[in-house]
Amino acid sequence: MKPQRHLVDWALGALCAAGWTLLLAPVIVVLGIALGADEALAFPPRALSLRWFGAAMDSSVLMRAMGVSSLLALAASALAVLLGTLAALGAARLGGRRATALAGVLTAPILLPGLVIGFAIYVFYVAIPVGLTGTFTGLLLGHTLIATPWVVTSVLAALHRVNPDHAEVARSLGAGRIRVFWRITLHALLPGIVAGALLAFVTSFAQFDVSLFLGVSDATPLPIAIFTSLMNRGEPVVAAAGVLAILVVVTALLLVHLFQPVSVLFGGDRH
Amino acid sequence: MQGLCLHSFVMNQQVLSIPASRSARYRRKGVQGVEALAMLLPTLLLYAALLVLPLLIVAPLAFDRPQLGQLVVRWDGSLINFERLLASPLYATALANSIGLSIAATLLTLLVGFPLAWQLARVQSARRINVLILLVLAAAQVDVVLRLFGMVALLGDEGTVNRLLRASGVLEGGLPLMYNRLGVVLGLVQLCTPFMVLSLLGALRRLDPAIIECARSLGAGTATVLWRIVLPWVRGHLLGASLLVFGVSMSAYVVPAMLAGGRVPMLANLLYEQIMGVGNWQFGAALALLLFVTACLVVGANQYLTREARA
Repeated sequence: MKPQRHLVDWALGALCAAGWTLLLAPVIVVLGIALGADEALAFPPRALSLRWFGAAMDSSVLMRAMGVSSLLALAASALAVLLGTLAALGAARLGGRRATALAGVLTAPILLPGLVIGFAIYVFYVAIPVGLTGTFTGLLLGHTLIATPWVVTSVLAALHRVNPDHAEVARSLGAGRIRVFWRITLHALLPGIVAGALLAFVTSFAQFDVSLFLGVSDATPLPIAIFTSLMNRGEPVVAAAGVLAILVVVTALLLVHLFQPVSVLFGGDRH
Repeated sequence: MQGLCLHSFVMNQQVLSIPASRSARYRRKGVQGVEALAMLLPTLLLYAALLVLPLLIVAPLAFDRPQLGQLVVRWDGSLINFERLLASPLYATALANSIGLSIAATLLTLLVGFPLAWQLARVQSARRINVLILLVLAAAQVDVVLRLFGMVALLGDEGTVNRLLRASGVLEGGLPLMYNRLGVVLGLVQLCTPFMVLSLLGALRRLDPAIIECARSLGAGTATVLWRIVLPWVRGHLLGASLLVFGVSMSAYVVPAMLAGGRVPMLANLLYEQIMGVGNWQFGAALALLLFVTACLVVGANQYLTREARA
């Protein structure tokens, strides 16, 4: 038994090392290229410089795309909070088997590949001409669709942790339904709503697949702008803009962790 | 791709088991239902308009004869689009690429993702596990295009790996790591691994370490522990996550575009070209229907498997 055990442990270790490399190396390489002084896309860089960040800040195309993506992600997550919170509360109110089925319906569509979702939305816009093709509103609706499930999930999870006795106590003390909702229920749900909103923001901000078919001529989101510029000619300035985008995503994820520990959200730990 | 992480989120939160509402006892049942439906309505309408309705257009459109630039269902009931997909060498290659490379990517993602998840699951320190999950999550949520940009800089003919190989004199000519099927598979594995790790992590952390201790004290080696205890424990999650990885890989667009530069066409690239380039909505609809049905089957099977695993 002994020698076999060593071999298996060694193989597992090697696979883990390969896995971490595969996960993190590409991001580190983008960071290195952005921080390099070279004109070429070379990693590791021969000398360090911040010149490409200056160039990214000066690039009207990249900065405009960054603005579009930020606005899009803010609006989509705001809409997602509104729709998702309402839907989660509605599903919970139904209770039982119907609610379970609904929660599945509300979260499952987002497991469809983004490109398929984007194409479906594009078909809707072209087939039913209500003026959404190639508009910011059209793109925003698409992003809202993929952002909402994050809020639904997060709020449903938070509902599990709400102590229903608190609401009953408040009601028995004479608080009205609206007051109970604002002061007790919403208060208890707030960390869940915020975590959901941040994850929704990240999903929209870094979204490529869904945006591909929903192009807007004068408002290109950053991932599409970066893709277009890379397909034409790769430049370190694009990597610099990418690093700024990575910083936004990482900051948002750290904020999520502040509101709800990621080991609880993704690691299966109990509160 | 980012959406897939929602799956692990849902599973770990166990949100799909909703207890009966407690406020129900205050009001009549009918009012309760109407209120709940009113709250669900905006979201359900959005889903219906943007996902269900398009499918009702795409499905019959796929069986119409091609007519460039026309998105009107004529109910031709013809199979010409599907025949074309199989008959034309170019399209048949794309189909074979999509299926073959997705299977390869799924297997490799499993091979890398499972050990990583297993490694993470055994971390005891709360601080360390949070940092590691944040790293995986960040790797999952960073823009797909940027991650592939890093892959291009690593794997290209003038990329880091090949320059290292040449500089060290190991391989004078370097290795063709990109612009071929290998590059596409590596790209797909890069994109899907974080999701696989997050999908398995929760289930693995719920496995009682005492069981493994017990097996080890009885003389079981790592291989036996993995094969007899760990793998059966996460089988449902493993299968479910693999299916989703396969589904997402089937409709990969950016990976072949960036890592193969059009030399390894897959179905999604064909779809984009047919719609945005040629305006052949009927053939495009046939491709989309294929991807749509694959994705729906995969998601359905996944929901079934994870419900089994949960029960």
